[in-house]
Amino acid sequence: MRLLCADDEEDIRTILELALSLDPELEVELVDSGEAALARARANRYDAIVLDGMMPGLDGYETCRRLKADPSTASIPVVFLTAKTQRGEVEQALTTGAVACLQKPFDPLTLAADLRAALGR
Amino acid sequence: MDRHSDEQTRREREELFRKLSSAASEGIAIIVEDRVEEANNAFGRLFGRELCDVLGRPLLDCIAPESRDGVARQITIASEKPYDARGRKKDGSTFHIELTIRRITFRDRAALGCVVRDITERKEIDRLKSEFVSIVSHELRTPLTSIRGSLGLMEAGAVGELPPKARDLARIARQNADRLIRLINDILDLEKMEAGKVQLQIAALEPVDLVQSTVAELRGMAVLYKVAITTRIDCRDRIAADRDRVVQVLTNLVSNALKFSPEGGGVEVSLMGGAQGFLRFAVRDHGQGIAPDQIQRLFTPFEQLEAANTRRRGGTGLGLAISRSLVEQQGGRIGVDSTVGQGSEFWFELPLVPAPGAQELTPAADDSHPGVLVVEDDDAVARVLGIMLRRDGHEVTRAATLGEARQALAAHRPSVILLDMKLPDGSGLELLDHLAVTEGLEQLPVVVLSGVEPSFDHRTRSERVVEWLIKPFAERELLRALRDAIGEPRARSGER
Repeated sequence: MRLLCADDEEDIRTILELALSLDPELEVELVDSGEAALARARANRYDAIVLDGMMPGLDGYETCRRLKADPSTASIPVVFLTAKTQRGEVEQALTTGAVACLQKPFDPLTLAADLRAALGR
Repeated sequence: MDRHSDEQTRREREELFRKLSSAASEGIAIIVEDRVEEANNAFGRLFGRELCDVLGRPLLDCIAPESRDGVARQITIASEKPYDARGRKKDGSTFHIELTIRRITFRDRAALGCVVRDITERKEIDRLKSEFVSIVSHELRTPLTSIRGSLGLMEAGAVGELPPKARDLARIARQNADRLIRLINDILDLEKMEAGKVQLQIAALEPVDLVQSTVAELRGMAVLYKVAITTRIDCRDRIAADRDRVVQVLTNLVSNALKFSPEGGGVEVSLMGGAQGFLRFAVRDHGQGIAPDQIQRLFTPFEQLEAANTRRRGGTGLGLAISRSLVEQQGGRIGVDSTVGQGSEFWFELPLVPAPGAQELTPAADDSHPGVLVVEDDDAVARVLGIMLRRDGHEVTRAATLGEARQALAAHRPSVILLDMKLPDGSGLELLDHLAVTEGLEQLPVVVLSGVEPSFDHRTRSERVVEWLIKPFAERELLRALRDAIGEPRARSGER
């Protein structure tokens, strides 16, 4: 399964890379912004996209809206990985068209399984 | 006293009122037929207007457009309770105000006394508090994600095997990061509850499913603490509650029981009938038990008991306070039965979804127990209202239509009416009109339950409406409105 992950925090990208590498079937690409995620998603094929909610510039929520509005990327499932965890915030995030909202902080040992469960894969 | 001295007394009192009100820092006004009849200087100053620009004008001219419906509702119900709104100055700028409105008689006419305070400063403090909570939520979580993630990967050997002592240190650091995360979550939860911001999504739930999924989630923890979990199901009736919040409470009680059980011990999670109309969830452990003098403190924030292994097992001291708040907001209650040396049973009860066809229309036994007349056509809403009211000690009669309501009123005079405005055979307004012209019912207080704010028509015909609750409303709002209308219910007042 080919994944694109966007998070503006370098430390968290490092942890994401290590945590997701525990699942040998995952092929992970990392970018540091919503803009980069949009560009990469339009140029390549991914099975799912993981977005941080809060990023400078184009935040995760707006990135998701644009992915869903673009016919070339609309069918790729999006999962948020966000520190905004209150019920209202999660509901708001899901209105952008994402399939699930995973919480930060996450357990790196179960992240891949949690992601698969959210994607139904 | 002749007419002349009556007039003299009235003038003297008005003069005294003027002197007193001119010294007040709050804006004070007398409203007759929605217009400002009298006001003190502070009232004009608050709204950046000369008094002559205010007198004779509608009060709503001083209210920002977005607050006008709400203030109109306050004018209708004159609840005497402070109400937050936005005021509008002459230059069009708006600001936060607190209004208190009560019914008075002014120059032999029905009028409203209105006190207005500028609460801009208080709102700014509230805003800063919310901002702080948001910072706690987001800004602390982001570094904790890195810390928790790094430690978890190191401890699991994802970046190479660590020497045993280093692995122990990574485990200690990871466990404490987990504890910090729980503490942040708990503080946020508690803050939301105290601010009344928790929004419940009440639905009909299968309790067995809730127990099974909670227990399945906690199997790993049980293995860690070497404690067995068993379940016992004596009741399968559905409850009316918020799924996530019930799971949160049950998870808290079961994880506490696991923490405080001796190795090799057992925890039993059971479902049973509770008080009438309620289902009980109970969690029994065989730990040390709790002394009677400590039980009171258990449900208070940060009052974690200082048992030898309490802190070591990473509690935040907030779980039971949060659980109590969540259970009470869902119309339930929570408690504990404990014997020192034998263990404890923590339990909570939540309202059942009554079976269709259950007795809902309870005729009042006689005039000495008049109770609450619930005029509501929706069966589900009426059932839930019945549960809430009976639990609070009220006797309940239900009418599903205007016709049934008139019939019930002819048979017995209730203490108060809970009135849905939209009924199959007409509007609740018609019942208000009926009360106005029926001997003995003119003063009967009415609490309106409505999906919408009151219209002008509602306001002019509803002097006896003591509260206008917008659906969905919280149980505590409803019970408070009833207490304001009629005082404590009989069943409760006798206990005091």
